[in-house]
Amino acid sequence: MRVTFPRRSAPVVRQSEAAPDAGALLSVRGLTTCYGATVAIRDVSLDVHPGEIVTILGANGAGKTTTLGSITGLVRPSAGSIFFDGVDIAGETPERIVGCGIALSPEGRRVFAKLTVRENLRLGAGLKGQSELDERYAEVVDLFPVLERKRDDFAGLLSGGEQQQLAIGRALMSRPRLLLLDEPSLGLAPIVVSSVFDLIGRLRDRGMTIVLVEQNVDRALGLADRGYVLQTGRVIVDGPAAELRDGSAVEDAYLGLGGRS
Amino acid sequence: MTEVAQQVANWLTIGGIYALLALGIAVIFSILGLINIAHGELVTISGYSMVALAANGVPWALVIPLAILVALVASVLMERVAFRPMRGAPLSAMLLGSLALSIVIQNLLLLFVGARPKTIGFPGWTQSSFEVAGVTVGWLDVGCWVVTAAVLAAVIVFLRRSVRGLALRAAAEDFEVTRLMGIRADSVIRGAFAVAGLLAGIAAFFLLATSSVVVPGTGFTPMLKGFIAAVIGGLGSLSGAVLGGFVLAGVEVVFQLALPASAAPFGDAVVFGVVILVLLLRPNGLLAARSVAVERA
Repeated sequence: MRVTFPRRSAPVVRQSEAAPDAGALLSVRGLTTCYGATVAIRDVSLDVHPGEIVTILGANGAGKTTTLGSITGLVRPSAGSIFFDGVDIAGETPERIVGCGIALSPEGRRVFAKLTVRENLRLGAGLKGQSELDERYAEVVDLFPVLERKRDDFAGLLSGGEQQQLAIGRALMSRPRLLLLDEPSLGLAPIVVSSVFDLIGRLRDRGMTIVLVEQNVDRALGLADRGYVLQTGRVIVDGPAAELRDGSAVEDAYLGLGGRS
Repeated sequence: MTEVAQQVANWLTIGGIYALLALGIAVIFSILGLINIAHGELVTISGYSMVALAANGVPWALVIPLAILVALVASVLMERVAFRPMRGAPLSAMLLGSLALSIVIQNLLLLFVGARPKTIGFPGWTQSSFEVAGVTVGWLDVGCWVVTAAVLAAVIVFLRRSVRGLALRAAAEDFEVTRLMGIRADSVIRGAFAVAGLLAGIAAFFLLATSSVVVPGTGFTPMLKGFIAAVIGGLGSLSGAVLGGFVLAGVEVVFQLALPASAAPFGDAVVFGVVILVLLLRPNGLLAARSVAVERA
């Protein structure tokens, strides 16, 4: 097992000139995160405006998951700022950051396999009281009816698609203002992938602001408003999704790894 | 027949004590990945507090709950003072840290209390017994069965029904994601140490009531037995730890009967040999509940 606790000792190096984009819900400025001596992401800056879907693309190891980990506090950034609603949350603990209104559906889903569906959702709301809980639960199972049908099943027994719905539902239980989705289509059958993307579209229609990390470049760009492309830890290109879809920058970034579809 | 019944009675008593110790060790391991070598010192500390309280005329009806409370508080303090500053350190460093803590506590006791065994003046009922169909049963045994069953049931209800128990089970499965749910790591870890301390304090009473003496090194054997029981059951599996406690006690009781008196000094060696055999056949323990997490690591 691996338990990672960000070291409290080293303060995050702030950049004095960094300022958040005034209209953005999330403004990342000059974010650098290292694992020991290895720099995973370097000087990443990105903005997410309310109501948009922003996708982060890139090959394996480009730093997508590290970027989300730094935003949620799972890994401690070594430099840079993360403004959420104008407040710098870089280096805060994950439990504080989720309290601010950022929820993550992690890579590989990571549902609590030995807990029931309902218990998974219960935890998504933290240690909130019962009435608050019932209200949120009703909202989430309204979006994901299958979770209500299987509420007493162990999460480990659900199919991949159902587990993904549970992971997203669990993240929504905290009533986030910003939802981070890390590779929601990973390891799912093509038909299930479609339903997951439909679902993300429905969330956007309800006004949810979403950061989507994906390997499925075409579908992600088809859904997103804007995109950032990471290569070996740096943002090499960003812009409206339509431009990224038409240009060659994304393919170049993958160096042929992503295929030419 | 009566002989068998007698041994079953012994087995249940020893097994219950081992189960309490193993469960405490497993609760902490399941969440932190830490094998707390200083767990046995909770038994010792609880024992010395019994000595001090009883010597000062505190009635036993109060001594027992107070001594259990002392173990609980000591366990929470251990986490606060020794393990929290080490969070994020490699697990091997945490393991060595717990060994160091164990040595420090033992030496502090040597220094301030002394190496001479302290006798605990347990009340008369703990040493008295009654006879049913030719089987001698101590009141202490009965107390141990009842309390162990009640405590294990209470822990199960706590883990299954309460929100904090739910958070503990979730943390045992995936600590990182539990923190992403907004559940504070500190409070979950403190809760685990409190449960472990409570269990160690209860085990301490039943363990020490049979020997009636406490020395600075008293905690070592209970820690070892609890640890082995937890390993047999599958480290990190809570139900496995309870099962492991009864299996280990069963093996001990059987060998005590089967081996000739001259082999008695080698009893532990034979028992550990059986443990090795169990682990050869089932390397992850009897209830290998951690396989998912192990794969991820």
